[in-house]
Amino acid sequence: MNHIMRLSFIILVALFIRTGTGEVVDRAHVPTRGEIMGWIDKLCEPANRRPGEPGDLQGENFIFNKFKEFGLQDVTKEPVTITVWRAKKWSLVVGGEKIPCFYGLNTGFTPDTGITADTVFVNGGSMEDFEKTDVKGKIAVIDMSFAMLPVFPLLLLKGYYLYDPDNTFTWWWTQPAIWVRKNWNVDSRDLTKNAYERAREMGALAVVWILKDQPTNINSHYGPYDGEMKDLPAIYVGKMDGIKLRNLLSRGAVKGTLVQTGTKTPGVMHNIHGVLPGKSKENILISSHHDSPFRGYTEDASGIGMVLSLAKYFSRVPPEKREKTLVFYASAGHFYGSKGITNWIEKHGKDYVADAVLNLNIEHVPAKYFEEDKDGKFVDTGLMQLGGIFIDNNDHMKRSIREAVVNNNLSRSAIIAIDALGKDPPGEARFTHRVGIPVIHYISGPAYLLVDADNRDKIYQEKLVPAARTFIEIVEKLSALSREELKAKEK
Amino acid sequence: MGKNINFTISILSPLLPLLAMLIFNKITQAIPLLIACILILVLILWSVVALVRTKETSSAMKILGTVLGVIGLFITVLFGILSALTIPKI
Repeated sequence: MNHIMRLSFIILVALFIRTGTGEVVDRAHVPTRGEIMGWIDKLCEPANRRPGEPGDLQGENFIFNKFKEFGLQDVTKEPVTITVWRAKKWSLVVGGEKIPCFYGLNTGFTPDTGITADTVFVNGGSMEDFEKTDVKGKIAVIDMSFAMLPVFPLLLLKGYYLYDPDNTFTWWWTQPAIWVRKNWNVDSRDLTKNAYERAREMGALAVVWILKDQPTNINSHYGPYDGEMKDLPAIYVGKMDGIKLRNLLSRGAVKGTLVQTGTKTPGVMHNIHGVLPGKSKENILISSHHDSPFRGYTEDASGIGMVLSLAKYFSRVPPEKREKTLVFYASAGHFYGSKGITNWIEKHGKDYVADAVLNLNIEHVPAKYFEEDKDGKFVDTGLMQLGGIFIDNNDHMKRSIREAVVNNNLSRSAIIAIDALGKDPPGEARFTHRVGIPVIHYISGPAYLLVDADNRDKIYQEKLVPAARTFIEIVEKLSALSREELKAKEK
Repeated sequence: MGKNINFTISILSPLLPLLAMLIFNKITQAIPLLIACILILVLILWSVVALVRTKETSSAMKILGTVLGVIGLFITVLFGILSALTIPKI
C-alpha cells in the first residue's frame, strides 16, 4: 500500500513539474522530420542557389508557394536587381605543373589565353612581405588566413549560457571562422587588412590565394561575397596544393599562367515575405536567407527549413491566439553583399520594420560538426556544430532561450551577446540589429559552409524537429511581451 | 622523509593545476575543476610553509621550492578564478 502511495506521489510531482516547465509547443502541429527534410531536399536540388541564378529563382518560387500553401497573407516576391558574375574557365599552371584551383568570386577576368607572368610567393601579403618581394607585372601567391574563434574566452567575456550536456568543449577548443578572411577584409578600408588591394596597388597582374586555414584540400571557397565587382583576377588553391605551390616557388619566381574567364550580366533576385496577423499589429520578424554558394544544405536551406516549419506551425494557431503578428521573411542576396535585406529594410521601414519588436533570424541549423582527419578528409564527429545564439542584453530573452534550448535538447548552443564578435552579429541579423530591432540570431559556422561540401550529410536530421520546437517555443514565450520588455537593457 | 615530500610537492606545484585542467578538461566541468583548484591550493600552501619551516632543509631547496610553489599557487588561483567565473554560464 505504501508503495502505491509513494508511486502516486511521484507521478503527481512529475506531472506538476511537467506543467511547471510550461509545455507551450503543441507537438502535434510541429512539422515532422521527413517534412522539413523534404523542403530542404527540394531547395537543394539545383547545383547552387547563387543570387540571380536559376537554382535560386527556383528556390524563391518554392518558398513563395509554400507561404501561400500555409495560408500566409500578403505573400510577396520583391525583385532586387544585381549583376550576375559567372566564371566560365579557370586554371593555373606554374612551372609546367597544373595546380587545381577555383575561381575568385566577382574578381577580374583574364583574356581567354590567360595571363602568363612570373609567379612569386608573398607569404601573408603584409606590408613587409610586399616590400621584400616585388610583384609588379607578376602573379602574387598569398597565404589566406582565417580568424580563429576561441570558445572559452568568448563565453567568459561575452557569453550568457552554454548548453553542452555531453561535455564536448574543452577549455582550449577553437574553430576556424572560415568567413573571416583576415588578410582580405572587404569590410575594412584599412589596406593593412586587404592584401588583395595591396597587390593591386603594387602592380600585380593577379592573385592566387592559398587556403591554408581551410580544413581539407578543398579549393572552392566562395567569397568574399560583398557584391562588389573587382578588377584584379584572383583564384583559390587548396591547402595541400598550396604546399606544393609554395615548394615550387621556394627558390624564386617561376613562370605561371592563370586563366579566369567569364561573364557579367544583369540579373534579378527576390525577397519573399508573408504575414500571419495576430492580436497586435506589432510583429515578430522570423527570417533566414535563401541563396547559397553551392547546394547549400546548411547554408541556408536549413535556415529556410526552420522558417517554413515556424510558418506552418503558426498558421495552425488561430489568429486570436497569436499575440503578435508574425512576418516570415526569406531574404535574397546574402551572397551579394546582403543587398536583399538592406533593400527590404529600406522598403518596409514604415510598415513591417517599424512594427517589428523582435527579429528571430535563423541560419545553419541543425548542422553537423565535421572535422578534418589525418588524411585531410572531412569526417563526421556525430556532434552538432557549435551554434551561437546572438541576443541583445535582455533578461526575458536569456531566460526563454535557455529554457527552450534545454527543453528541446538543442545541444552545443551558446547564448552570447550580440556584440560578441564585433559591433554587429555575423549574418543577416546584423541589418535588423543596425536599425534597432531587438535580435535573436542563431548561427553556426561549420568549416564546410562556403565550399562545395555542404551536402545532405551535413544536416543533423535527428535535430530538425528539436530545433524547430526550440524556435517555436522562443516565439511563443516572447510574443506575450511588450515592445518595452523586449528591448535591450540600457548600458 | 617529510621534507622530501614537501619539497617534491613544491617543485611539482606548477604542474598540479595543469594536471587538474587536463583531467577536468571540459568547459562544463568548471565545478570539479574549481574544487580541485581549492584542494591543490591548500596542498601547495601547506607544502611550501612546511618546507620553509623545516630546519634541516637547505636554503637552496627552500628557495627553489618556494619559487615553484608560488608559481603553482598563481596558476592554481588563476584557473580557480576562471572556473568560478564560468560556473554561472554553464
